[in-house]
Amino acid sequence: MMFAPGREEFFSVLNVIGKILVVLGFLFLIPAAIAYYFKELNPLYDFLISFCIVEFCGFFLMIVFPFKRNLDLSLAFLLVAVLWLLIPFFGAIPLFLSEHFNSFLDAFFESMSGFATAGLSLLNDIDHAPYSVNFWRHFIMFLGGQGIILVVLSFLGASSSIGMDLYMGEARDEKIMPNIMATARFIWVVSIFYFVLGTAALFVCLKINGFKTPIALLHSACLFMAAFDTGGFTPQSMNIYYYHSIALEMVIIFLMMLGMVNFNLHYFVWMIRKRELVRNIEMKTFFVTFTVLLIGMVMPLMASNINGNVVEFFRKVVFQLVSAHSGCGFANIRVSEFVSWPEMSQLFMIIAMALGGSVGSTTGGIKLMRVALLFKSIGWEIRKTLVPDKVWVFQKYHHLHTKVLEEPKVRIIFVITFLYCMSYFLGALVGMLYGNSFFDSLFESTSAAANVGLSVGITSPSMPTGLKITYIIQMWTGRLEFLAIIVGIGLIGKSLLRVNRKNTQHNEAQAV
Amino acid sequence: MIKRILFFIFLVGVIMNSVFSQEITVENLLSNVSEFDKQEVQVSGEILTVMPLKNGSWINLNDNGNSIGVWCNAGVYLPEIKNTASYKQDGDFLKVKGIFNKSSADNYGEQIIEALELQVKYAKKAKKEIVSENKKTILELSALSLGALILVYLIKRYFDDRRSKKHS
Repeated sequence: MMFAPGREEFFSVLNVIGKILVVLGFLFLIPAAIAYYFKELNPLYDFLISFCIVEFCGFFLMIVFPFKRNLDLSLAFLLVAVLWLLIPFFGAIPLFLSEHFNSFLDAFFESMSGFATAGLSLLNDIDHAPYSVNFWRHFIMFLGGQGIILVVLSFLGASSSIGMDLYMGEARDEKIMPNIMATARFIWVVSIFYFVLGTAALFVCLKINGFKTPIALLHSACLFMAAFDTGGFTPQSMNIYYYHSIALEMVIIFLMMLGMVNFNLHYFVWMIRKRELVRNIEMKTFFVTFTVLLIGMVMPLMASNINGNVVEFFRKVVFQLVSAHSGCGFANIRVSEFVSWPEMSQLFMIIAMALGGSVGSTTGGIKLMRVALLFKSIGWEIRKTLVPDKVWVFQKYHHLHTKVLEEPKVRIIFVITFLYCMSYFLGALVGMLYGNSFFDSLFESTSAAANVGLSVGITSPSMPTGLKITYIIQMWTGRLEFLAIIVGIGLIGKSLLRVNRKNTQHNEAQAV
Repeated sequence: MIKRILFFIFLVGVIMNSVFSQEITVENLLSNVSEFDKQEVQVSGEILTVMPLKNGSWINLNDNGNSIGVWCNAGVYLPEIKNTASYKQDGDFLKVKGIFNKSSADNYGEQIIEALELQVKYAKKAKKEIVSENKKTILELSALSLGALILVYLIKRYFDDRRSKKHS
């Protein structure tokens, strides 16, 4: 039977949210420092105002709602679901104050897109946006990619049970180290190591292209955060073709692929054995899906006589495919050029976006592990029907260790895959209701729900409000892989029913 | 005399009209890439960035939200560009005459314009950034409220600690 939380449990949730807001509020001071460095007065005020508002709300919640009960797994899931709405809401304040958005909803869309590492953008006149605002857009992507909870746990510390519950609620079903703090520390070490290396490589590319040092540094940091955390925002309007640099595109492809690798696999390859990289089921699946999708994209392109040599094909198709498969959303061609590709090539891009990268990485989508295990489970079922009843058939797979596939795991995989597919198609349906074609709607919807960020042009500041809200919901549910949200809604519903039942009993007692 | 002046004005008008009629928007150019491929075109827009390289320069141009890269070979005269688009400054206005290439082989398939002639009109100097009085007041008020709330929190925490010590 499902647990129905009462007032004390909800108070405890609100108290923890307050604590988390107090911690996260300090992150506004980083773009404020950048605004100060570049002498951007208005953004400096905007970030300081946002800092005060978030801190005020945090302290208010901590004072008014005392912490009385420890949170169990379902409450931790509720907390994560609520937090993933609240943090983007507060993150939208400096964006809205920058006056580069038509409404607060647009700023919230941008913020949710950043935190969920989607990369769909509604920013007006990005080329005249302040450096600090641009940094903030990319920084929230970095925080969201790492996981808001992970960021908070790194600062706050937490008892391992509740910490692990919160960590699991954030769509991370594997711990790397025995305890949550060590896991958080390892993820930060990996990310900072790659940050230094990746930013340096991008910086060199930009310096070769004649960028001034502070701008090159800012762009390389922003591009790293967007590539490694598979976000997809860029600090200017022209996406990656702004840089006219094939070397930079190569570095970005490498970073996107690093970002789509499971942090657990990073740990194994770093610390235990390098061979895991070729033995791992997700890596094998990636090799297969990438090859199939690449062939599927190239064939129609070649048949349609779009001119270009092999290098051009490689540059455009491979970059777009890695970007879609990793859930990053960078593009080195214009939307107008992409939509001129044959629909079959675009369809393979949609499949790449829908599949996503590895579990326990910064990508969205169904995830390679689930795809692999889905196919394995089908093979398992077929084998079970072919052998006598008394023979026990088991299915093995290799992910860090050799494991045996279990039915409860298969059931969860089927449920999550089904929910993702539902989200892709329901979003497409809403897109069609607003007059877009099925194909374009499906592309945009898959991009939002799988947190990719590629667009065929539907996402724009002039897009209908209903569609903006639909994509916000898709990005939110897609990032948390539905589970935390379903549990959260279930808990609230259960509590409301309990309150209703109590009221009815009270009324009946009074009547008697 | 008046007739001659009028005829001269008419002639200038016709010439100017024919010059500007060649100019197309970047949006038009990018939505009809096959039509304009390898053709001489004239576009204009705000300069987003200039990237000087050994054998030439890349200039990114923005025309009403539609951007395109312009490749300017070292042999082509590039006038001095003082301002590029940023938060505080509008970029200089560039008029480019060049060959449009929908898939430039020299640049690994990019859609670009290879410049033949460039003309720059300098943007106005950046205005001083002003923070509105409202914004200043909001910051002051929110900082004061936050300070007061932190004080309340600390007092509450002090009494909570004392109470728990008493109980223990």
